[in-house]
Amino acid sequence: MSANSLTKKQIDSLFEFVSNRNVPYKDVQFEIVDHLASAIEDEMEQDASLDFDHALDLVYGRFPITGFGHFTLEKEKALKKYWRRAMWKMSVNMFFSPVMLCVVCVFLVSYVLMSTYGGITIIPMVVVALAAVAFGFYSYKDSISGGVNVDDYLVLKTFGEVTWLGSPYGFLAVFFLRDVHFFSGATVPMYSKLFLSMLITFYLVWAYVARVYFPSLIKKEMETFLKHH
Amino acid sequence: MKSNLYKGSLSTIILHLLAEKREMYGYEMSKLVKEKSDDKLLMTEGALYPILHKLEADGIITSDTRYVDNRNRKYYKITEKGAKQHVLSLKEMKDYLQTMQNMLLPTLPTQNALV
Repeated sequence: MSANSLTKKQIDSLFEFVSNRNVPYKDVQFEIVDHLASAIEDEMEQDASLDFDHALDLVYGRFPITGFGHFTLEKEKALKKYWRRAMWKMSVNMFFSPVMLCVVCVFLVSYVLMSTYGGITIIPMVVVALAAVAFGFYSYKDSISGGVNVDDYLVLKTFGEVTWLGSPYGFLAVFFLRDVHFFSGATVPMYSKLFLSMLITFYLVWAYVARVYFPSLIKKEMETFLKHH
Repeated sequence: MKSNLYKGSLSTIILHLLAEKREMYGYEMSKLVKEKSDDKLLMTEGALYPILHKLEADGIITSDTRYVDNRNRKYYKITEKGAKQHVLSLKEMKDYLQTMQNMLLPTLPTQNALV
């Protein structure tokens, strides 16, 4: 710890200062707080007569007129972009890894079930819907946070927004993409069965990545971050 | 320097700093840029962090959080993809500076470029 380091109390007051200026997310707050604290320490080192409050006024004065609002908005955009890229990359990787065997099995099972039951494809759809609900129970909120409020962290909030397709609601969206004749008992053409099998397979891969794979990584990150909170 | 001229070069500057220093935190970067440019370039918070977040989202840089001086601090590092991008950016910058000099200030002697 350097000689001019701010005290824990001063750091806490910076967190309060930042959260009162339209920055509700803790992960965004800590980055701004570190910047403010480093700048304040610098100012106080250069001018020993400067107290903490005046140094803070000086440093905050350098921020744009919009304060920290711009910072949060830009970070939100960047995080959403990051999650979209990461989700897509990881989902595609699943098709080229040892997990591919499972992926192929899901595809084949979907196709065989639809072929076996012909027009009444509502049965395999229900099976997949149940699997989706099971993923839903393995909620990312519970698996990531360990009691932390997801809406308090921009990284968790944006993850939830980007990966909503991996939720049971997302499944319903996929489910209704197909023609209504799936419910009518009419014979389903082969191309529709192939298409739907691929859709179900990709949905389950996406759901696995969104609900199981990434949450385990985020949980580790959160543990490191929360260690000092 | 308040001009918009260097705004488009901010990501190149950040990559260059990270390539040189291995890892840095946000405030450290803005301070170093100010020092290296004799206070001519001021990398404001409003400009620096959005670029850092964008570079991170693009996989050009990566970050690591550590507890330092009673607070969490985010250190940024350049990735392998970022290192390649850095080489390309420097080459582009060199070409750009050369072209500008040829266009606008042809009588001045050629300066040593960034690389």
